[in-house]
Amino acid sequence: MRTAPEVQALYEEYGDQGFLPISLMTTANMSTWASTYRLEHPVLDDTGFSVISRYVDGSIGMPNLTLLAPGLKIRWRDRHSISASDIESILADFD
Amino acid sequence: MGVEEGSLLKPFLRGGLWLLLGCVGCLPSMEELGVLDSDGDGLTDSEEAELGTDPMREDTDSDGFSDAEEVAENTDPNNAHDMPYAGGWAIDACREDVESTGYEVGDIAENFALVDQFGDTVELHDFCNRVVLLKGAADT
Repeated sequence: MRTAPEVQALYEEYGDQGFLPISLMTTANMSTWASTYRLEHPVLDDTGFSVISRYVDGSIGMPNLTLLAPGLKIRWRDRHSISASDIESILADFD
Repeated sequence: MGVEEGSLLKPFLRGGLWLLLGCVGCLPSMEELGVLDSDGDGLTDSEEAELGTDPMREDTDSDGFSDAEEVAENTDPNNAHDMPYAGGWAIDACREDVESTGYEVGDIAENFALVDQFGDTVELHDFCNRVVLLKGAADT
């Protein structure tokens, strides 16, 4: 999973099970981007890198992913991909 | 002189009527029963008293959402800046109870507030009961 449509697809599949992706946009065209890809999950303006930079070790590579368990406990951070099975696994832990 | 049929009962019936009328004042009012909803917003006046909302106004903070809707959506009916998201994402009741510890693996994530694609300011802690994926993205 890397692209916006793939994230949106995961949201559509697992959103009703408690999965919520949040896109932190670091470029200025947030609204256009969300509209173009018909993104229904939160797309947030992080052009100042104020949030994403907190979860990165070293230089920022995009996409940069952080996974939070229920209770917002950080499961892992600073990765560049996630699979459907990763999501199914963590959802099963908290089912 | 004959006794009119039922005449002996009249004083008792009259007394019963007075007793009944007297009892109306003795019955607990809707307000005393805690079921009065003066503004018809779905919250009783006693519930509104506990929340600190105006029992005579359906939408106390005038943010476009009724007091009952805000309670159901876990937002503050007394705060016009706190309302359900236009994006429709549910807000979790635990939002006020999250105790952040940092940004490392195993920490409870610190809160943040950023503007979303609809112009709302979204806070991370509003989704405290979800599996959340933060995706830092450029334009892909």
